[in-house]
Formats: sequence, C-alpha cells, structure tokens
Amino acid sequence: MRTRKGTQMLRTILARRTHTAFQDTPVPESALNHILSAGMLAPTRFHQRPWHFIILRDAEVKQEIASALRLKPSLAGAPIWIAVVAEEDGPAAWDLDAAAAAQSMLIAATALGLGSAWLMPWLGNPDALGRVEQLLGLPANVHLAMILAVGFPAEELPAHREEEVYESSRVHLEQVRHAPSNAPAC
Amino acid sequence: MYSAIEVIQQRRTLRRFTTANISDDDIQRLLTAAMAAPSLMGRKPWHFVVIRDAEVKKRIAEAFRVHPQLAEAPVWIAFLADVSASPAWRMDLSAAVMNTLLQATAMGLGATWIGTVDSKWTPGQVEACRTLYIPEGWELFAFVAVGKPAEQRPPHVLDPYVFSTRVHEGKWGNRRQVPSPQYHSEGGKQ
Ligand SMILES: Cc1cc2nc3c(=O)[nH]c(=O)nc-3n(C[C@H](O)[C@H](O)[C@H](O)COP(=O)(O)O)c2cc1C
Ligand SMILES: Cc1cc2nc3c(=O)[nH]c(=O)nc-3n(C[C@H](O)[C@H](O)[C@H](O)COP(=O)(O)O)c2cc1C
Repeated sequence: MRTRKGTQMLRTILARRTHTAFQDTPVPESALNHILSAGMLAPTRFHQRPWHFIILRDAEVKQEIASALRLKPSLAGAPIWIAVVAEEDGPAAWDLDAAAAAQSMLIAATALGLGSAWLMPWLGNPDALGRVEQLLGLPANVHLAMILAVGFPAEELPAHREEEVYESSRVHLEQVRHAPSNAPAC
Repeated sequence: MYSAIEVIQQRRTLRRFTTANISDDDIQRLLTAAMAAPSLMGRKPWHFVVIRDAEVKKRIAEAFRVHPQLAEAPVWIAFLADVSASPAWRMDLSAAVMNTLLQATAMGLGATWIGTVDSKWTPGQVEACRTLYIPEGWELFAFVAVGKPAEQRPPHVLDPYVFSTRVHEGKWGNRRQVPSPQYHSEGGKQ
C-alpha cells in the first residue's frame, strides 16, 4: 500500500548523500535543535540512551582535527560538526545506539535541506582516535562514535535512485540461497 | 521533505501486530530504505532474509527468548552482515536498520529492532544459523519484525532536561550557551 507519507519518507532517505563541501551560511539554531532531537528520539537498546552530543563550531578546532585525521579539508568548512559520543554501559551496544542516532540525525538534516557527512576517519588508527577523544575532553568511560559534519551544501548532489539502490541479489527469501560460500557456519 | 521530522518524532517500537499480511511491494520499499543507508566507503556489507514462515519465526523467537508476540508479526527481516566487507559493519547495519524503522513508521507499519549481534553461539544464534543457512563469515546482526500495528504508543516527548544535559559545546562538560525551549517550534507536534 503506497501512502503519501511513505513516498515522502523514501524520497528523503534517498536524498541523503555524503557531502564534503559546504557553504559558509550558518546552520540555524532551530535546525540544529531539530537534528539533535532526532538523535535523541532514536531507539536505543533497553532504552539506555547512552549518547551525548558535542557541538564543534570553532574553525581552528575543526581544521586541526581534519588535518590530523587526513580528512578532506573542505569538510572542516562545514559550519557545524556534531561529535556523537556514548557512555559504555554493560554489554557493548553503545556503538549501535550511537549509529542509530547518527542516521536519524542525517535524515533530519536532509529533510531540513542541509548536507551532511558521517565521518570515522580514525578507523584502524586507535592513536588518532585517542587524540580526538582527548581534545574533546572525554572521560575514560565515554567513547567517540562518529563525527557528523552538517551545513548547507556547496553543491547539490543527486539523490540515490530507487532502482539502483535496491539490489535483489542481497535479498533472500526464507533462507540464504546464493552466498559466496555455500556452507553454513553451523 | 519536512515530514521526515514528524516521522522521526512519531517512531516507536511496536510489539503487537494484527494478522494482516505485508505485501512484497511494501517489503521492497523497506529494504530500499535499508540499502540507501550510508556505509563506510560505500561497502554495503548488508544482506537480508525475508521470513514469512510462521514456524520459523516462532522457533527463532523462542530460541532468542524474545517476546512471543513478536513472532506474530507477519514478516521478520533478518539483517546479515558480511563482516569481511567492512570494518564498520556494526555501524553500517545500524544505519540500515534505522532507515527501515523510519520507513515502516511513515508507511503506517509497526516495527521492532530485535538485537542479536552480541549473542554468538547462543541457542538463538545457532537456531537462526541453521534455519536461515547463514554462511561462514556473515553475522546475524538483527531482526526487524514488521506488521500492521495492533497497538499505538504515544510519541516520545523529549525531556528538556535530557536535551540540555546531553548537548555539550566544543568540549565534554561545557553546557550549551543557548538553552533550547524552542526546539519543537517548527514542524510537527511533539
Ligand atoms: C540495538 C538495539 C537492540 C534492541 N533489541 C530489542 C530486542 O531484542 N527486543 C525488543 O523488544 N526491543 C529491542 N530494541 C528496542 C528498544 O527496546 C527500544 O528502542 C527502546 O525501548 C526505546 O523505545 P522506542 O523505540 O519506542 O523509542 C532494541 C533497540 C536497539 C537500538
Ligand atoms: C560508518 C561510516 C563511516 C564513514 N566514514 C567516512 C569518512 O571517514 N570519510 C568520508 O568522507 N565518508 C565517510 N562515510 C560516508 C561513506 O563514504 C558514504 O556513506 C558512502 O560512500 C555512500 O555514499 P552516500 O552516503 O552518498 O550514499 C562513512 C559512512 C559510514 C556509514
């Protein structure tokens, strides 16, 4: 059953693209609040809500992090970075909770006409991660999950196309039938 | 596109479903949403199994000890990750699940994220692995149970205290200069 809301939602989801260049135009505070709310309305395991959000606006700080992590310099030009961090609490699902919040925020940003990028350039480099965590002043039990860059895009990127996004080869009915290795793991 | 904000505000985990079936077209839209998620370097480590067989749902639900009502959802979607495809597969798959939940909400469907990833070799994992024929190197990341909702849950109302204590300026512990009473002033009711 195709509903108008369903169609609009899918359009927003498909319009979300990773932007790496931004206008200087500041992000309105009301838009930022919508984005943060979207993060805090996302599901978390056992409703634990382990996340916190650190807003980075200072151009020098962004540039410093960007160059330390070899990010594309134009990413530092996003007026706002949101560092999503999470408290470790019991079995490790903080990364999932943070990721759900991040995706919720990216969808909100897209709906508000903003461009965004999900950044984790420290993957495979724990020292770099440690340095950024130190710069953010995180306590020992709080981890940096990802940084989201947000701003009005310098150029419009085309939305994903439904027919290209949906790959039927990844969809199995009742059982995995065409995996690279045929033997099940169990 | 603004209504996505409303959808985000309305989304709740729903665990009771009617017996009404979900069409293949609806499933395709949910999975299109999943596959439009961002992934590290565009690696797309995800694969999906659409489960409609009532016996299978029941067996897996029991093995994982999830709420029996969840087995009554007409469709379960297994979210699988090819671990070798992306070191950030946990994040990539979370984003895909999140998109699916939002798309389901917008379509008037109820959905539940059933987390399974941290239970390697538990009875649930073994049952699912055998039944779904999960290959070596793939992880069962989660199920999403989907159906027409037989319950309604009110949207979350964000506690302004939570809102203000979870947002920091520039550094951990720096409270935000601008308090945020007006954060719902545009778009959608809270
Ligand atoms: C990683 C993760 C795992 C979850 N696992 C389950 C689960 O196994 N069973 C369940 O009923 N709900 C599960 N949930 C749903 C949460 O319980 C739910 O999101 C939380 O209570 C907040 O409620 P809301 O989704 O209505 O906002 C999970 C959520 C997340 C993010
Ligand atoms: C977990 C994760 C980590 C990512 N890390 C980076 C990053 O460090 N730098 C970057 O430019 N993009 C990063 N991305 C964005 C992906 O490269 C992007 O989502 C992918 O290429 C697909 O493009 P799209 O987002 O426009 O659909 C990341 C995405 C995810 C989900």
